[in-house]
Order: sequence, then structure tokens, then C-alpha cells
Amino acid sequence: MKIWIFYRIFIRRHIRSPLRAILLTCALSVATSLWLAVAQVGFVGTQTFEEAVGISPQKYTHQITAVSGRIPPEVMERCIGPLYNIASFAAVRRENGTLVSGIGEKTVRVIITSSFGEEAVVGTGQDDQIFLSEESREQLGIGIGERVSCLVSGRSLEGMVSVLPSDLPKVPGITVVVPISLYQKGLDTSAAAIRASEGRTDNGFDSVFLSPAGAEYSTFAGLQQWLDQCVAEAPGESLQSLRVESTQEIDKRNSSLLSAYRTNIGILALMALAVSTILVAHASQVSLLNMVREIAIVRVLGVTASFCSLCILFEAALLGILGVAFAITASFPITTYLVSYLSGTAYEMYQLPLAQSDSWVFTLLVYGGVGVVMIVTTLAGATVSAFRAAAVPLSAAAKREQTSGIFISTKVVVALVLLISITLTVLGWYACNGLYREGSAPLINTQNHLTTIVVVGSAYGFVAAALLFGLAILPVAVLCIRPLLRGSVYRLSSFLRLHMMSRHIAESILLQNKHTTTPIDGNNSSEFARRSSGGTIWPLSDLFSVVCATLAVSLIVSISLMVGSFRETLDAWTTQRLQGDLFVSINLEGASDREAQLPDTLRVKLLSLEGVKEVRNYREIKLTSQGTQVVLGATQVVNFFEEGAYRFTQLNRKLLQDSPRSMLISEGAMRRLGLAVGDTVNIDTGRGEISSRVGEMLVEPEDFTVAGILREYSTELPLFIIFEESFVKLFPNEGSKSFTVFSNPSLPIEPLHQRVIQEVDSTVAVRKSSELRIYVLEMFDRTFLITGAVRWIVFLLAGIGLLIAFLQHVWEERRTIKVMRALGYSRLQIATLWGVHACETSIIAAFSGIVGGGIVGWGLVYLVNPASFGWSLDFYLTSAPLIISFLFIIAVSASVFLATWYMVKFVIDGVAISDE
Amino acid sequence: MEQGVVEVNEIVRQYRDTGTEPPAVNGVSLSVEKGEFVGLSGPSGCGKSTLLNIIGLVDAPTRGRVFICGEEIRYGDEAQAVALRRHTIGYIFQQFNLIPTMTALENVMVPLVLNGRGADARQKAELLLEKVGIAGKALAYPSELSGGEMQRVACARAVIHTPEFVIADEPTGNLDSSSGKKVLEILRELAHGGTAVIMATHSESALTYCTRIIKMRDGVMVS
Repeated sequence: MKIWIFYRIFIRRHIRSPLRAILLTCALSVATSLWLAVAQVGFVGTQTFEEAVGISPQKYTHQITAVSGRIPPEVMERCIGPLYNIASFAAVRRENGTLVSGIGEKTVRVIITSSFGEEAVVGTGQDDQIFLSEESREQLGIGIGERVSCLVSGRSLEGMVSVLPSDLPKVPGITVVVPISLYQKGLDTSAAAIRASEGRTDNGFDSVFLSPAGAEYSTFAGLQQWLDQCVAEAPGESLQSLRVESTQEIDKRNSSLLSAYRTNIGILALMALAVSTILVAHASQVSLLNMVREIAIVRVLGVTASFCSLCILFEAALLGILGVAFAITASFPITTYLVSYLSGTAYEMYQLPLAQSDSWVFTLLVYGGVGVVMIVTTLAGATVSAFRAAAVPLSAAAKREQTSGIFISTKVVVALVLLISITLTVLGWYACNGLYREGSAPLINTQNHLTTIVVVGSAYGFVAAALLFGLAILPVAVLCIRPLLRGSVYRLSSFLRLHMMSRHIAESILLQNKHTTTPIDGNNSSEFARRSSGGTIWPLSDLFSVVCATLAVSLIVSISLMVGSFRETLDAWTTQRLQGDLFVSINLEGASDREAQLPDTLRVKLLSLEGVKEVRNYREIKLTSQGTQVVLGATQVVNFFEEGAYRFTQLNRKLLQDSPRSMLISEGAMRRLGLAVGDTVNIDTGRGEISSRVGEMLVEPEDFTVAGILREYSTELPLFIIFEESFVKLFPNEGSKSFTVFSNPSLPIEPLHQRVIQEVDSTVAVRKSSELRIYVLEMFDRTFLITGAVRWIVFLLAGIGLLIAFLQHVWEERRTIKVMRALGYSRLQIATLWGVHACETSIIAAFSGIVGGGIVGWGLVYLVNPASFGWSLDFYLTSAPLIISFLFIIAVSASVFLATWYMVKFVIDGVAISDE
Repeated sequence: MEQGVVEVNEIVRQYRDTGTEPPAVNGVSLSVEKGEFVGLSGPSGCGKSTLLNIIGLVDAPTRGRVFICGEEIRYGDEAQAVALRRHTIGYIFQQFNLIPTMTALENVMVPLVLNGRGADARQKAELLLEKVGIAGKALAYPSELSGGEMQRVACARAVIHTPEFVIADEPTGNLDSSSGKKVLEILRELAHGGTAVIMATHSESALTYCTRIIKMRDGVMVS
């Protein structure tokens, strides 16, 4: 009996009219997708964090970190002497049987260790072994016994792959363990020789974990002294800024970051749950609203209330399973596509383990878990409907019964708004504060993965949460404006010269209302509007709904403005800076600063080419100034200045042109170092006595005077720019980072381009400046693809939510529609009336949103961005807000129009006029 | 005296206790015997539908007692109400109230299915549809039927489980005269078969089919 009734009432209606089921399924799918997004962000970050934190086994007491660049091989070499148990990070990829370090497909830990006893390996003639765990072998596609060579920190290590000894500490992820003896065997091969033979570079290590072998190295002071000695005696290589830290402190810091990240993700998950529940419960309410009469009829015929509730829950479960299955099926390939598209730009930070998982079981468990949570959420939302179904009055079968679609009160919405706003603030604070503290920037400084992941994850979480909040509130806001809609229909009808007809409608409706029997004359339709809207045309709920909609638009607009300003600034910057016709630089992935330098001989060579008018170079080195790492750049300052390549906020023109010891600094340098025009800066090379010695000549530290402050965002670090001549005096061994080639204007560029390519080796990239500008913008667009995708997803969600909300609203107004129809309104006219009014409301929200979003966007660009990122952005009023607002208005109006169009037909064709 | 199928004693139904608004039904007493065809008439708002809703367990009285087949109704007792709806009461509404996702045949079958007699429900429903003259539309959905046809389906649904009495609230209100006449003949035939019929109507011609006419005004019976 139960199945017979359930199928014919609850299932067959979806078969006969699939639109409702499609909408419900879409709502469920969307909600599930939100959950999956949160799960992906959460698991990516947490997994990466745990791996990073887990690399620091207790036996290692200290860590040496390269603040900039990589730890040079010489230091690594010396570590083997007095120290042991060295574990290092390196990113390795496999190419033609060689594991090559560098930023690549797989991040691999390389552990150089003696902890498992040299007598056990070296002493038995097995010192040519490279040890890989089973997981590592699977991931790298290497079998036991296979001979591989590793190119690690300038050393070519060849050995046979063996099983990882059980007494070695287990660390997560892909790990290659190299005995010290094997590493020492590879010392003969210099980095330069490898680069020459393999045609590529090697990165060295980001950091080294170690345990001091003697008491003299167990303190920071002892270690630092030893490190200074290593650096001082290092022959010929550049001297890096190395930092010694306790692993306990690092673990503590990482744990703190991980905890903060988990908190953020937890909050995001709760928000996603709230949004999902609202969407699902709302969809379920709409479903119930259309079932009130049927439920009342079957109850009159003898069906129990509990059975009706059970049917509602069962229907929700079926739709929940369908929606979740659809969402998982759809989101998996989409995520994979996005990741593969982005991975070319952002490397591992965007590699989602759930999409490119090392473990399918794990992936399925996570997706399954999200699915179960969503189905439970669906059932929770449907429970509300089930209770209401049980309470449906039987009189609904005999007469019209109004059931409100608003299932949460305004107070709850206000509480929700406050909760989400506070949460967003906290998330933003975490993102900005964490970024500022670490002094690094996402997307550029990939050497600091932890910070990058925290910041990028939080930032996208922030954006997504803000947008989703806007989405979640829209349907509620739309429902809140029902009274306004009711009243304005008549005001609008007057506007549309349908005044007389609306008067008749008003009278007809009033005559049917026992409580408002006062007829109205032809001139006071606004009075009718006032009554229809519940006593006031602009009640608090209407004001609140417009505020909510405005807030939603503001959030979307502000983010768009910030991203748009970023892009416009980048466009302007590249146009000003990327002058000349060709741009020449080293083209090596992950190359260190030292390795990315061009020799001055190349400049001479380029100048000799036919068609080359001028070649300007740019030199750069990272230093420490006032305890802060800075970038010191040098070029032909005056030339660029005269050509307008710099944009100044302050400038002493005379000082810049007259003094060779003048300096330009970025806004970031001004803020972080507290500098101003006229201040003196002492260039601290960070090398102590050694650093200031160039060859046999002792160079005194030089002071420079700040002549101008320029807008700059090419680096998140403070930037100093000095004259090239001064730079060469201080750092005669440093090459150029790039050349800008100016061609003879009368000659075509392409032939020159080809000639330059022929003159340089394969490690040098020669790009046309115009193409490079386009490339930079393309890279930007790819980097911010997620933002764009989120924006469109939000619009999709908003469209679905609006459509559902207005379908419900129009259904509740079916009595009015029927009367209007009976009195002569065409289907088109009725749909237009509702659509125009929705347009009117959305225009108010859109314009308010533009203003609000503009203010927030301005704050993001000029207040939040400089404080957190250190870049100088200009605020641009891009077209995006206008497009967004226009789409918002169109979406709202079209949703209402379509809903009314559909419902008018349904009301007229399916229900008799007296069917109330 | 033989106890009636329906006994109503001094029932009052007050929708809002404002002190000024009169009750929708005010002290009505009524007894309906088997085979009676009772017509309730009166102007709109006189309390006909409210009275029928109370008798049909769709609404509850503010005061007073109601007996159905000698059993006092305990309003709020869901089990009692469900049992009476399934076995004792048949409903015919002015707006038909067919379930739109069921065919005419399935709509008629519903009461028997709910009574656990689904096995012979189809055969009996087909017989009834043939009896009311729409056997050819058995597989049509309500949206494919005319008003008269829908009301005849509703009549068949109301009697398929052989209830003790049938409540008909304006059964001809939405029908043309020809269709209305057919429905009234079905109801009269039903009464002749021993089933009590209580019908609310505005139609004077419909009242001519009744064996007893009760007039109401302002919530009270006037004759």
C-alpha cells in the first residue's frame, strides 16, 4: 500500500513534471559541490602541512634554511663532516632514468644519512644503493634493482634501487634515502659540469635538517660559527643568507599554522554546511508547498500524518542521492581539468590530492564522506518539511491554504549574517597577518610552501565564502521582498498604463477579502499597494532584503575590482617597464639567482648584431637591510626615468639626475623600512668582512640617498634601484638578470628576433616584449582562473536559487494571477509586471552594491593589499562591476519572468478559477 | 429510536474569539439516518461547509459532541479519525480534489488500497467507473477530464469502500446542469442503497433530490 501511494503521489509527479526535480537536484548538487570544494581545500592544505611538519623527526635538532635561493653544494658538503643525519627537501622529477632535482611533478624528500650504519651498507659492498620506500617506488615508477641516477644538490649519484631499511624513520610522501658514502662519491661532479652535460640547472636544497655530531655544534652560536666558517671558505660560489633554527621551534610554528589552518577550514566547513542546509531545506520547502493540497486530500482519504512525513523524508533521500551522485560525477572531471590547467602555472600548490590522488581509496572515502554528509544534510532539511507535512491542515483540501515559504525568521538571517561576517573577518585577518608575518607572497615566492598554501587557501576560502554567503542570502532576500512585490505590482501596472485594469483587479480581490472590504477608487491604487504589502510599502523586511542583496553584490563587486585592479596595474606596469623590442633572460625552471644570470659578454655580443640599436641590462641581488631582506636592482636609471618607465609617488628630480649615489625605492620599502625621500640608506651586503671584500680590494660600505619612491609590485620584498655603475662597483661578479634590446625602428623585429635566438644557447630565452606582455597577462588570467570560475559558479547558483524562490513566490500569488488573467491580462503582461518589478528591486541592490563594493574594493587595494602583500596596486574602476551588476539584474528579472511565465500557464490551465 | 449514522449535539465552531465575531456554527444539533439524503442550504457564510467539515473530521468543533455510528468522536485522536475516514466516511468536494498524478482508475482505487483491499480494488474501481459512465476514461489523468467527469470519478472514489455516509460539499457547484444532474442521480442512487448522504448546496434544483432539507443562516439551523 505504502509504495503504491508513495510512487503515485511523490515520484510520479517528478516523472510527469521533471522541472521541479531538476531544480531540486541542481540545488542539492550545488550544495554538494560546495562541500567538495571545502573538502578539497581542507585536505590539500592539511595533507601538505602534515607532510611538512612530519619531515622533522625528533632526532634532528636544527634546521638550516636558505632565506633566499638555495643552500649551496659547498655547505652541503661541509655538513657531512662534523654533522650527520642530514635530511633535506628537494623536488625531484624523473627524466630518462634520472631523478633530477628541481621544481617538477613530484615533491620528493632526499635524506642523506648515516643513521642506519655505514657498516651495514658501505661495509658490505652495498654502498651504491639508493633506498626508496614501496610507496616512493610506485609513485616514481621505479622497480627494485633498477639502476637510477639522482642529480641532487650538484651531485650526480648513481646507484641501485633497494628496499628502504626498516630501521630508518618513516616519513610520509616520496622519500629517497642516500647513504653519506654514496653522496660523498658524487662530490667530484661539479654543478657546472652537470649543467653543461645535461643542459639544465640544479636547485640545491631549500633547507637541511641536521643533528650536530659534537658538543661544540649543539648550540646556535656554535652552529652559526661553523656555518660562517663554511660560507667563508666556500670557493667561488655566491654567499647565501643562511638561517639556523631549532626544529622544535619550527615544529611549534608549523603546528600553530596547521592549527590555524584547520580552524579556518573547520569554520569554512560549518559555513558550507549552513549554506547547504539553507539551500536544501529551501528546496524541500518549495517541494512541500506544491504538495499541500495533495497531502490534505490523501489525509482526508485516510492516510496518516506520519506516513506523509515519511514520504517527504524518503523523497528527500532519493533526491539527495541523485543530487550527490550528479555533483560528484560532475565535479571530479571539472576539478581534474582545472588542476591540470593550472598546474602549468602554480605547480604543486594547486595539485589537489583528491583529484590526482595517490590513493584512490582515500579519494573515494572523502567523496563518499561528503556525499553521506550531504544526504544527511538533505534529510535534516527535509525533516523540517516532514514536520510541516504532518501539520498540514485537512481543510487545505477544501479551500485555499497559504503556506509560507520562509522557513527561517528574519532574526535567524540576521544572526547568520553576523556569524558569517565575523567569520570572514577572522579568516581575512588570518590570511593577511600570516602573510605579513612570514614576509612572503603567494604565487611568486614558491620557496615558502607552507605560507603560500595557508595564504592561498585562506584567500580563496575567503573569496569563496564571501561569494557563497552572497548566494545563500539571495533566495532568502528575495523571499523577504514578497510584500514589496505584491504592492509594487499595482504601482507598476499604473506605470504601464494598465491603471484601470489594475483597479478592477484590486476591487475584485478586495471584495473577496472579508477583512478589507473598503473599495478603492481609481486614484488610490497606492493605498491598495500599502494594504497588500501588509501595512507599509517599505517594511523592515523589505529594507533588510535589499541590504542583503546589496551586500551580496558588494562582495562580488569588491573582489572583482581588486582582481581587476591587479590586472590593470599589471598591464600598465608591463607597458611601462617592458620597453624595447626584445627581452632576454635565463630560461631555467627553478634556477637559483646565481644561475639565472647572464654574462656581460652576451651584452657585447648582442650589441654587435645588425639591427640592434641599444641593449640595456638589469642587475639584481638580494640583501639584508636593517634586518629585512631587500632586493637591490640596478639599471640605466636615468634613461628609464626619462622614458617614463617609473611611476613615482614622491620624487626629488634634481637629486636623481645629479647624484650617482641616489636611489629609488619601492612603496613597500618605504613602508617596511620607514624610509622617505632624502633619507640615507647604507647598503649592507650581509657578508661582514668577507662580504665587503671584492677580490683583493676592500670596498667600503656605501651610503645612498633616497631620491624617489616608486609604485612597484614586481616583488613583495622591499626594492632598491640604484645606478648600474654603483652596483658594479659593489658587486663586480654579479651578472645581469635580463637584457632589453632596442632595435633599429626602421627594421622589422622578427628577423632580429631570430638572429638573437641563434646567437644565444638553449638556456637563454629571447622573447618579444609585446609577446611577453601578453604572456604575463595570460599567466595572470590563468592564476586567477579559480576566481573567475567561482564567480560564474556563484551566478549559476544564484540563478537556481532565484528561480526556485520566485517559483514559490509566484505560486503563492496564484490567486492574484488567476484574477488578473480572468480580467484580461495576458500571460506576457503578467510575467512582464513581475519581471519589471524584480528588475526595479535588483537595480536598487545593484547600484547600491556597486557603491558598497567600490568602497570595499578601494580598501582592499589601498589598505589590505599594501599591508599584507607589499605590492603597490592602483585602483581601477573596471567594467567587471557593471557587467556583474547587469548580469545580476538580468538574472533576477529573467528568473522572475520565467517563473511567472511558467506559473501563469500552470495556474490557468491546471486549476480552475474557483479552485481555492 | 434507532441511533443515526451521524449524531450532532449542540456543536459550536468559533474561528476567532474576539468577542464580536459570531460563531460560524452556533449550537447545531442534527441526526442523519441510513439511506437519508440530507440537503444543507443557505447563503454563503451561513456555516454549511463548517458543519460538513466537523462531521467529516476535517475540522473540530469548539464545543459540542459528535457521534458517528454510535461512536463519540474524540477530536485529536488520529487513530480514530484515520479508521473512520478509511471505512465509514466518503468525501465529495466542489473542486473534485482528485490527485493529479493518478489516473481516474487509480484515484478511485485509493480508498480500497488504504483499507488493505488492494487485490480487488482495480476490478471494483472499473465497475464503478462503468457505473458512473466514464469507463472509457479510466486511464486518463484528471487534467484530461472535464469537470463533470472529474466529479463522477470523485463520486466513485467516495463510495468504493462502501462508507456509512457520504459528505458532498457543493458537488455540482463547478458543473454544468447536465453533469450536475448526473452526479445528483448517482448520489440519490447511493442513498437508495442505504448510504446516508449529506450534501451542502446553493442549488434549489439539487435540493429536489434530497429526502430532507435543512436551512441554515448565521450558523444556526432555521428549519
